[in-house]
Amino acid sequence: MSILQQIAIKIIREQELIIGPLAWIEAQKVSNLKVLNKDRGEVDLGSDEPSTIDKLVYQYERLFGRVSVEVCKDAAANLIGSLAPMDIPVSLR
Amino acid sequence: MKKEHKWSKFSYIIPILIFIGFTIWWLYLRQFDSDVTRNGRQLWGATYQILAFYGAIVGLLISKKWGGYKSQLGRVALAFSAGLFLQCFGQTYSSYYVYHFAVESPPYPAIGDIGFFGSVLAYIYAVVLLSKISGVKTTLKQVHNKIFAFIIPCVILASSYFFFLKGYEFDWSSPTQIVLDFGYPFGQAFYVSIAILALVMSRNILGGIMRKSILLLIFALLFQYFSDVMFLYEAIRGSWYVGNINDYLYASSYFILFLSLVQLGSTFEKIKNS
Repeated sequence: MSILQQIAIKIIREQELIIGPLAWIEAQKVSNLKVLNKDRGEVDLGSDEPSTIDKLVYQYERLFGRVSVEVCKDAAANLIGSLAPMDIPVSLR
Repeated sequence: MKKEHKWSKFSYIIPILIFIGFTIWWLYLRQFDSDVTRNGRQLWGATYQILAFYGAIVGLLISKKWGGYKSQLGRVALAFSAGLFLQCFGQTYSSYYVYHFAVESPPYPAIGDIGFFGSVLAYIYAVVLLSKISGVKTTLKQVHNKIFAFIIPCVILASSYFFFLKGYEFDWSSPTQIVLDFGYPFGQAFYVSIAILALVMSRNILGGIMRKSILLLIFALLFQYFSDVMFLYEAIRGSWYVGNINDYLYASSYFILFLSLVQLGSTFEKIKNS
């Protein structure tokens, strides 16, 4: 599983702690993001993974505004360091 | 989609109609001398809790939608439901006592205080969760917000102390009363200070579709606090009676909290279907 896929799962699970099952419903609305297995935490982010992460973050931003973005950033914080600067999605910088 | 829309409309109409009914009844009773309307006032005071009971049931259903105890928003709805159920318990006991012993107000402390004080604890839990959801933790990174987070609760707790407890004489023969005498004003001051803190500190960070629902829940708590403070003031002066303006404010508090929970439920549907 790629780092960005792990980040996507961490973001969705962190949002799930706040909004419950709606977090997965919202994630499934993101284009190019496919939830393969919710329980095992498997997602497909398509060919442009950083862009799909951005779309996921914006999907949650729609709900609580900047608060949601900060939650996403906190969720991804531990994994961001493993990415090259140019690979970090804009929404998480 | 159409079915959801109908559900949403229906869930607003029922509490509004119940509240209008109780308001008209209360206004009718207010025309007469309070001694003449004793039985009517007692009946009104014993039955408006239907708003709290119904609101609590709806709150449980809405909590389930948001994931129940597994999510923070689910727990917020659960905590408000618990608060409303506990208020019902307290009010049912008080109404029974007042009716059965033909007195104007119930004794203090009494079994009903388990419900009334329990609701204060439930609201504290709810508002702590609301402050987390509205981003208070993030805003605490800024120094001026840390100062706010210290000053606001201190000012409100100190005001409560000077207003309700200054010169308090301890009667150690009734320790439960001492706990409640301090617990009510401090517990209520605590939840309102966290509510105000959440309002002030989240103003630049909380947005989106959920903003309205979160602010409405906080407003419902502020209104509940206003009712609680007025009750304490009148109870200390011995001027409180069933069916007075403060009792009507309690009915309004239940109504506002009920509507806030319905709003939380309809926002869920709105997000899910958008």
